[in-house]
Amino acid sequence: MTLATKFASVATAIVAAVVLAGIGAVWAVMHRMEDPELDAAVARSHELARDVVGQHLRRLALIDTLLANDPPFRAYVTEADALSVLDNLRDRRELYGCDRLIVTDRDGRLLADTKRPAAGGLDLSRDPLIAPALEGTARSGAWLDPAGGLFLAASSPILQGGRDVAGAVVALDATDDALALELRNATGSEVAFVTGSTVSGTSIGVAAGAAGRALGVQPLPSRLPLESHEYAAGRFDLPAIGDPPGGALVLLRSVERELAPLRRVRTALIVAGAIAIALAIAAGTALAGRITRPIADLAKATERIAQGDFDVPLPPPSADEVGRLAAAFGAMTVQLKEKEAMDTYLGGIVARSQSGAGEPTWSVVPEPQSATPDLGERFEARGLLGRGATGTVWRAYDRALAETIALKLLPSGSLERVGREIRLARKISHRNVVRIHDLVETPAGPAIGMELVDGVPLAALLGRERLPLGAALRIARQICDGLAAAHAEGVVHRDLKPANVLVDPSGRVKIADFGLAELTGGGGGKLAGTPSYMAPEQTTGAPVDQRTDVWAAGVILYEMLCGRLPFRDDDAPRLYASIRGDDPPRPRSLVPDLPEALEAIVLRALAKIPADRPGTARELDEALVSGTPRGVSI
Amino acid sequence: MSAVLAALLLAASVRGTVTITGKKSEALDPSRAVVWLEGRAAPPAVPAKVVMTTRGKKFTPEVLVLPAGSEVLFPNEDSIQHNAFSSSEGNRFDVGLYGPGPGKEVVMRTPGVVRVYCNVHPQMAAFVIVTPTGLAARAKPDGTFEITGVPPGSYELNAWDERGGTSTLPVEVKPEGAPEVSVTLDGSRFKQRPHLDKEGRSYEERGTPDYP
Repeated sequence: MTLATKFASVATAIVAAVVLAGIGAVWAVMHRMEDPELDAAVARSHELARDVVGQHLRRLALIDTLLANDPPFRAYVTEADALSVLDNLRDRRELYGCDRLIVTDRDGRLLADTKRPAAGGLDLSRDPLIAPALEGTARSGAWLDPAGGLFLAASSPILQGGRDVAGAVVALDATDDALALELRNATGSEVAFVTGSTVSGTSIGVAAGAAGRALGVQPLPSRLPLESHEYAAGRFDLPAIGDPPGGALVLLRSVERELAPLRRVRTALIVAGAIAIALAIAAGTALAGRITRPIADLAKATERIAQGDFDVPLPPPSADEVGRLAAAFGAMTVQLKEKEAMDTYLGGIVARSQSGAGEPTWSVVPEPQSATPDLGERFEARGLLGRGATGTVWRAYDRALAETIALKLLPSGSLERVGREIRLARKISHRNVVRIHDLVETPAGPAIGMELVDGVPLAALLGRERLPLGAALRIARQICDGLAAAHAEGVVHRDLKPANVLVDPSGRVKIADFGLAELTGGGGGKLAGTPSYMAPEQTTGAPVDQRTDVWAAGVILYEMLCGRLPFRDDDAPRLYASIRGDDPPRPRSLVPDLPEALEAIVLRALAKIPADRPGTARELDEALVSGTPRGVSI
Repeated sequence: MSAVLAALLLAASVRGTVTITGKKSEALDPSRAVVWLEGRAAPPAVPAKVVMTTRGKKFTPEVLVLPAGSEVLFPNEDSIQHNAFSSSEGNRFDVGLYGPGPGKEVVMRTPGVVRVYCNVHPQMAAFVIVTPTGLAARAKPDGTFEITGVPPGSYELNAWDERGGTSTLPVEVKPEGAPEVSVTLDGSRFKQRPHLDKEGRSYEERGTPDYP
């Protein structure tokens, strides 16, 4: 799993969890809202339905009044003229638009009924609807016809002469499908009229059959599945005339339609949530990819570098941590590259020297084979390492310390000249300075026990061609480091030259022969140093200081960068004059692609007057760092 | 006596056509139109006895034309009780509620249009046109009419219809006859309005508490 996938997964998971939790909470709240919403809707329907039923009853009562107060009609009733009454009732039913009209005589015997014309004479005097009318009181409500059927009915007395009851008139509306539909239009709910468990009229056409019977069930469930719909249901008694109530109204509210707004919001919520999660996935993936791409690139580059391929492009620089990592990694890579270049370079030199194909690098100063010297009880010579102006250097085994060291045999009596300086130099402990262990007397003469360096003198690397820029700068900087450490101890080398600078196969530089300048033969023993690397002040025997070493470092740097010495002459006096008076050839005239800043540094180190040079080796080192072109590691 | 006889012998017929135009100038049914002649030459009216039956909650016929002083009988052939009344000026009457049977008789004394209604059934309506002379006729379904036995002389021809009202024009009758008469009644402004009951109340509202 890549870093990008991890980032994207975590981001998506967090967003999804938050979104889902939010949706879940809202969902739960909405779910709890559903039941009260449905019950309230049924209750609202009931109020509307009650109004409509009330209007019907008032209208029926008005029809009663119109009839009871009509003189010819009153006369018919008074005379108990059933035919005329019935005929008139039929006309009035048409005129007023009610479903049924009933008239009884003063004794409660049926005089006329538009629904049952042939039922005359029936005794209705005890009917809860008729009885009060016969006693002069109007009544209205849901009436259960003893002959069958549930009606909305209003009864009224027919008064003769304003006092005597001549009969009763009843106007009725059937609780049929038509009335149910009217109520549905008014309430928006499905409606059914029920008596007991019998349905007399519904707005959904289920009066017959199992579905219809379900409406009459008592108690009525609050949620009722009917004809593939779910309804919120409520059963309400119609206004009663007698006791018990005659009928009831069942109101059905479609759950689906009632909750549609709630459910639309819920669906919208889910869709919005899904979109949010999708966006989170997309954004998370894109963002994670964007953030981690440089890391991935860096990882890829690292893998390639690990396999030895240094020519890999690195992520572009940026200010964030990844950018800094990339930059640091880039610098490391360049260093590795330079180091590898140097290793390769040095390895080549070493290989050539070992195969004997080239000039033996150890023999910086050609010398015939020396006889193995007697180094006394403590030391055993194990091979000549080199020979210079100051003496021969042997690989020696120190029996006392059970350690192989380098032992430099000095000319007899030289200890008096250099002893003080050697003892001073012994204090220098630095990775770029060959450590001096001891000053010892051997049968072969005085000797200096030193750290054994497994490397070659820089002199062996020079002379053929200039060094690669990176290698030259690395060596120069290490020389500066070593010098700075010595100068800090108050030791000036005074004879710094490529033969004194040892380079091991890993590129580590160590400066040797601190404190031995006195032994180097200049002019008449007065001039200490090696002519080609002498500073102008040395050539005149003027006082020297650390800036003299800066000059020598400048000469070595010139030699490494340009592949030749700045001042050349086989004749020493002429060379000294040239050192004192001539400007060296400008490095860029020899190496055109040398950076200008480096040329300026080299020339400054080779200033004739010490005060014009970098004041210290440390200063020269800093100049090298700042003058190093971008992309070159040192 | 001889003059009367002479007049009868010399009597001619007045023929013509009644046209009733509606709102869009269309011709309306003229069969309920009535025409009669008025004039000094007209012989004195002879009262008649005429029947207006109540049958199937309708007056039959719905239009009667008769000379002043005639008697109208209102027999009831329905099984329910009916009523016949008129509030028309000069011929007010009310026969009361009456069941099946020969009914009552009413004398129409004053010439004019008598509107007859039933106080129980607002849909029942009839017209009795009481004329000053006996020279009258009802139009046939095609609008033509013929008044016979008209002695020569100067007359005013009156034409009436419920929708078109009354129109009058002079007619000169000669022994050899009279020219064809053409009368047009304008029925374009007629609107059927519900009539009131015998107390002067609307049938629909008379049961409300305001009309005890």
